[in-house]
Amino acid sequence: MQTEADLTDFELMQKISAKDSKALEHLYDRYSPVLYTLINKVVRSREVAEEVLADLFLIIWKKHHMFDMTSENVYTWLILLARNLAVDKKKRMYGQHTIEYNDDYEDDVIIPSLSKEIDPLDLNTALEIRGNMVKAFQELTDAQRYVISLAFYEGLTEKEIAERLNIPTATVKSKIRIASTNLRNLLRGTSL
Amino acid sequence: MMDKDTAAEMIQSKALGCLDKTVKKELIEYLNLGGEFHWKEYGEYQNLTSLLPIILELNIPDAKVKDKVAKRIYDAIAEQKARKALDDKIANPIADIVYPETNVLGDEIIPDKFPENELANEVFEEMPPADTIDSIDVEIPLDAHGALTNEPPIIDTGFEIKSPSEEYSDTDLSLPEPETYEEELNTELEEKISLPDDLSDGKMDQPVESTFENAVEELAENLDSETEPEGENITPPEVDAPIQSKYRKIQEEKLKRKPLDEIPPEKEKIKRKPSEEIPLQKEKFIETEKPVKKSITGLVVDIIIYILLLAAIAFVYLKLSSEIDSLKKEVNELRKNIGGIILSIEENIT
Repeated sequence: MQTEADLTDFELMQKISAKDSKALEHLYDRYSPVLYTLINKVVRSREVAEEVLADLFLIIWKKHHMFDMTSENVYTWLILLARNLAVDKKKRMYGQHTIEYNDDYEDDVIIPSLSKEIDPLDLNTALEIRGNMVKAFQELTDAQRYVISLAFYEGLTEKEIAERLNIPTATVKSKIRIASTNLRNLLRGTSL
Repeated sequence: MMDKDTAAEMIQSKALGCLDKTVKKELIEYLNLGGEFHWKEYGEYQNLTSLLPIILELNIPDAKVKDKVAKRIYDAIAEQKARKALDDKIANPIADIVYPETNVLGDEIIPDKFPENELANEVFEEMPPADTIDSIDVEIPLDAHGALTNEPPIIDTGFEIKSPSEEYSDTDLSLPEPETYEEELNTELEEKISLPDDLSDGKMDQPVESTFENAVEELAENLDSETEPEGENITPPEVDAPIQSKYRKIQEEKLKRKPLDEIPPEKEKIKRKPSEEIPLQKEKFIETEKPVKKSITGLVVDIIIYILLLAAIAFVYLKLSSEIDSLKKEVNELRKNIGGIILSIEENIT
């Protein structure tokens, strides 16, 4: 007999949409390590990371309808949601964000919109290709890795990265494009 | 206006979430106008970006975070249900809703509205009157001469202040019945309070006020009946001879006019210094044994009443505080369950 622990990410998300709190608990058990690690990497505080993680699952519960069921890509939605929320929290902590946090802001800025032609991806698949991902990331140059880290984990925009590195914005755009393309090419042949 | 190539160049940056605000706005406008965009490629880069955290060394959050999440979800569910119920009520108002007597809606308890006076009256009604208590254990502080000292009396009431339990569970939220406290108080008072032997022989049958008044009246009568020492023992102060003779004449004339017996006691009294008057009164007071006993009895009764009042006040305070604590907890619990309760009320009504 299939238990909820055996359900796919997408099936759990479907149950959450039907207000099944047990499904949310299973989703938490499954995703909390990777989401917590990501949030902690962004906010660099264990206490804040725990707080953000709790906020994140409340958003999942309340805003599950904003997940595009046709994409069947729970993993990417959750990761991007966690990243956006953590970056927002970090910027508010340092007074860089003064805009009011309300439902509209959450819907527009925090909750990600997945591409309408995105391939499905779940946590198990992501963990399976983890080795390839590590290898591909290590093959990038230091500058490329640094730019990607500034953009993703620090939450800096292209202009802010340019100011931080004291280089033209166009150069930053170029480096980001090249780094991402290289990473994708290095990962070709995986499930992406 | 953004073109197709410019939009294509933004795919990686958009997937990484590092587009500048103005550029992002332009891209959204472009897409809203139906501009061409490589959605498939954008999806690939979104997946690629989401794989970045997977290469980090994974940490497990503290177990308390899960509890925190559960609590927030629970609160969110309750809030959502309450809101839904409220919306339904606004949409379909029912005029004749009869709410239960208990405060299930979790209204805040306002101290002014709390029936303290009623509760206190209830408690005092159940208390045995002072003249019916036949066993009270009171230690009256007396000095070596048997006189009352200023030290407060030591009373063994045997009360144990039982604080409410520190740990609560959902099942422990029921309030104790008020009668239970009253019965406990009465039985504890009967068991723990006992009179000294000399006071328990029906000497307290008289009401406190009448005993005290009688003692005062008798004391006054005794004081009036006392005779002052005779005038001959008192030596008048030495004065000049002519004045002295004149004074004697006046005194003799006065004595001739009225016999000594007819002179009212007030005028007969010889003025004394206050230091001399007090020992005299003390002597008189000690000589009259009966009023002294009664006045001591009155004092004892006063002390007992005072003690009982203090005990009653302490009891009422403890009871009220414990009940308020319990009610607060119940209110908090009800707040949590407000959504479910409202729904159940709605169901009952319908």
